[in-house]
Amino acid sequence: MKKMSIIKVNTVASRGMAMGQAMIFDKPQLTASRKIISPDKVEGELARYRQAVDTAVAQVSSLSNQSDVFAAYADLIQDYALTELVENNIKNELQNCELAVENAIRTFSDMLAAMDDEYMRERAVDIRDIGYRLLSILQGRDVHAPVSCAGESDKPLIIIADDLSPSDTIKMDKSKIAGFVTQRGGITGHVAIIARSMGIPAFVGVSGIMDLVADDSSVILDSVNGEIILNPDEVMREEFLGRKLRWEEKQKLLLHYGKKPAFTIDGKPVKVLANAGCVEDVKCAAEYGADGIGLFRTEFLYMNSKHFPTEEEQFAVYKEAAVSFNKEITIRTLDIGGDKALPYFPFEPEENPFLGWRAIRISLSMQSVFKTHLRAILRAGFFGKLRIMYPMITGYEELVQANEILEECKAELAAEGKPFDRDIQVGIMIETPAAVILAHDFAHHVNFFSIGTNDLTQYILAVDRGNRNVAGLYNTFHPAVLKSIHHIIKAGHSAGIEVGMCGEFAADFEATRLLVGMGLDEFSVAAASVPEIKQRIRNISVAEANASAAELRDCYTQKCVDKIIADS
Amino acid sequence: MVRQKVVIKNKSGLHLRPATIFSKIAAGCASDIKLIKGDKTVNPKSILFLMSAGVKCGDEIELVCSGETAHDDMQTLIDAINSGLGEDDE
Repeated sequence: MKKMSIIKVNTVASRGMAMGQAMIFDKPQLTASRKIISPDKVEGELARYRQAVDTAVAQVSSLSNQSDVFAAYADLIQDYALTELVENNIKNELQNCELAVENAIRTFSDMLAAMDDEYMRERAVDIRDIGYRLLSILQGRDVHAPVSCAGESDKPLIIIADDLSPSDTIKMDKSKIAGFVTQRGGITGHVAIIARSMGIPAFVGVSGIMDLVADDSSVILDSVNGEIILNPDEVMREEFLGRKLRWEEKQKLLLHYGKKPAFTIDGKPVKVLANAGCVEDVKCAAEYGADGIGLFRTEFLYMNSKHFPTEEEQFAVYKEAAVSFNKEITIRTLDIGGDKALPYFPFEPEENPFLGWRAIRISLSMQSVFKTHLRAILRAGFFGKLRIMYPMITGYEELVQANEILEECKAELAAEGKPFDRDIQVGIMIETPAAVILAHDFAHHVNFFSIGTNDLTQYILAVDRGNRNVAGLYNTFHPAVLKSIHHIIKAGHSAGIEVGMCGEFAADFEATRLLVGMGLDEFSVAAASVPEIKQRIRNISVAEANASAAELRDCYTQKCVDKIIADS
Repeated sequence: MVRQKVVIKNKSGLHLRPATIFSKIAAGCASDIKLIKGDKTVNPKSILFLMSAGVKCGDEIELVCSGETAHDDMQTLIDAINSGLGEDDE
């Protein structure tokens, strides 16, 4: 028995849990017989090429009912530029047909592989796949010879390969495959797509895996922990099967509860959205059945960069978010401050970072950075349903100033003829006591409110929860915080706007009923909590919840709050 | 010679599938056609060249048609782009 080893992986292209027997997929390298031909052979070689193209087109056309990528292959094989280059290699360079094809394919696959767009780089695989097919035909090989399944055992197989093209996977017996691991490839590659459609795990970009795994050895793919376990021992196998079972149960539950909208017992719809800190989170939220993104944090773009991210860099990210999830996405403008340094922009150390230069205050004093940010959001808004949300607003003038800058950005984009969302909705985070007190006034000047309970709690109660000595005083169930939340919701509704909540409190099971009773329109929580909060809402009656919220009016002690919560 | 600028609206830009559709339409035109994006100029009658221009959704490109049927061909190409090249823009 070989020794057990665990390999951590970075790129989970398709999620899932699988245990099986390794099958190394190593296809023969085809190389052209390098030959320079005499001029009288040119016609013959050209004819061989056309014949090979016809055969290849016929082959892929017959496969197009199995995967529509092959329909595009038929066109690629006959591509104008590819044909011209191959024919030129034969006619003018006097290369034989195989060499002419090999050189032309290399030219185009190198061209795509050098692009700075991951999707286009992945297409180099398609070009090489076509080249492989043409060479196979020219050399009289059968490109469709089925892959022999090692040992012909009934065990599920984990395919280990350098990379896999559509032509490779089409000939595999899918019913036996439990997972894929490839040395190359990305999350937009063919392996990723096919694994997701089969609902099995795939890890890509695992360099060196082919040297570590032997045919027939036992392999576990665990996407929850992001691990490949080679030669697992009996204890590990047992433990994994338990993990696999729990994961599958959870997936079933998620699918069952997550995707459907949440209605209370008495039929009121309540939206449950997800918070996101990157594009991957947005995709994850879609899988968990979120009704949108209630908080898209933009900090990651600034913190993971070596310079202030450019408009194009930001645009690409916001656009990807917008197109990958066709629901409302609320983008919070930059919320950084003295407690989070940027590698390229040192903040002066502050005594009280939470009372210092942060969030909208930074944006308003660094207008060029703010404009770049807003322009990128406006442009991305053209491709989906984006909303803008300003954080840390304390005064009306801040809102006016931010909106003036937003209007300047719109005017610039219009003058430049760039498409953008002219009617983008604008809202504010209510997270400072000043904004709570002025909530009725703010409500008439924005499209929505979102309550940020983490900051709101610390500002209302004057408690730094990072300070051990007072952390125990941090309590969103404090009557002053709850009454503030109720006040904000009523203020929003009196002006006819929706009120959401994106702090941790929105995911607190004990608070759900009270919040529904207060009339909260949107809960925004971590993606993984969406199904559970939805399920909680489905067991709440608005009539009863309203009564609980009404009791809060005369309640000023913690004991009284606790009783309301306990009764609900 | 006719020149016209147009913004690509379908959501994946000129990815494999839309590039295939567009290049077929371009190949059906008698004009010589150039597609210019930034500092790249390509012949859109080839899917491969078209993809190498890396045209994304929201990008502005310029088309240049020359030949007897340049006007009609330009209209055909612009219509194809505005129709989303086989992708629904929901």
